Amino acid sequence: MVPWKIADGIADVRLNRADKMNALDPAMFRAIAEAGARLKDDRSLRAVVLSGEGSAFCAGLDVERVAAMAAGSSILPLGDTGAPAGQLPSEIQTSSHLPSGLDFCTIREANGVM
Amino acid sequence: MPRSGLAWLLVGLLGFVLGGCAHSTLEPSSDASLTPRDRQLLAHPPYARADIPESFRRHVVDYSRKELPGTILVDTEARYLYYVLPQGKAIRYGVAVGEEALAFSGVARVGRMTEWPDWIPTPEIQARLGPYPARVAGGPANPLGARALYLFDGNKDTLYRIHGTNQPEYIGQAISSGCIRMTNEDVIDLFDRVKPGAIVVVLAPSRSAGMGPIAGPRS
Repeated sequence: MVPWKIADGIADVRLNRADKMNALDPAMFRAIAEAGARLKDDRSLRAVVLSGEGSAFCAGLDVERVAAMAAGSSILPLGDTGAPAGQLPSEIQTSSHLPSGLDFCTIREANGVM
Repeated sequence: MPRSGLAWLLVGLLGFVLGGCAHSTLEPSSDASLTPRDRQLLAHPPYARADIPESFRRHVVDYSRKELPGTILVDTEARYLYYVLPQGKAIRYGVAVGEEALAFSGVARVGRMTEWPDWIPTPEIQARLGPYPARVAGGPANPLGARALYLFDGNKDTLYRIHGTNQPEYIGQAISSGCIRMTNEDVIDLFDRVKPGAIVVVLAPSRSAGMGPIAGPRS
């Protein structure tokens, strides 16, 4: 869901859930956190460019999660990600603070809805 | 002319007409896409230059299937990989198919793409072909070669890879290990075209696309 391509020291990272305007659900949070964890240790990188596939960069939190919460379930159920209990909140934090945790230039190539 | 003879003549003419509709043009990968690092690492590779049969060298071909431009199609049985272009065309590369490639068929996405990847031999490879170091640094002696495309199903690594090689003499063949191997020049050409997240369709070994070389190369 967050594929990337590293060429000539630049990582081209894509949010790739275009059918949902790259909205964030538990799996997207996890994928973004994993991408950050992998890329921050790559000493060959000079820059990371983050963009969204399709018509929008990112529509924010997936509204389906809000609807699920209204129906009585957790807004971000841990079971959806396969992550151990208690790990998801830190992944959300990691996702949110990804650019500041990296040692190289990060660029958000934002398009459409944000 | 007897009626059966006339029928065979018509069949022959139909075959000639249909055969003439499918074109393939030999267009070897250009070295213009090589980076300075590629040129340095490929200047004196630790393998002999291979004489790859012409049908397994890079061609631009007619493409009759429905995949959209930007898609990769792997025809394991025919030992071809197609990169779909607009307007009914595709680039066809010859590949070597290893045992690991046979473990996956279906639709996936390119999740990660790297230049001169490190190779971490699996325990199974260590047991069967090792011993290797725990991690082999990227370079011309590395069996993953100049580029690697890692295929994912959602967030799950399928363990299926498309990569270069340090044994180009095996292009067009089935071999004992590895996934889909391409010559380093061809995998660099493919890498430059593919976007992260691109769709990859891998045909099961028994379901060849039937789009092998029909017409000879055209000048």
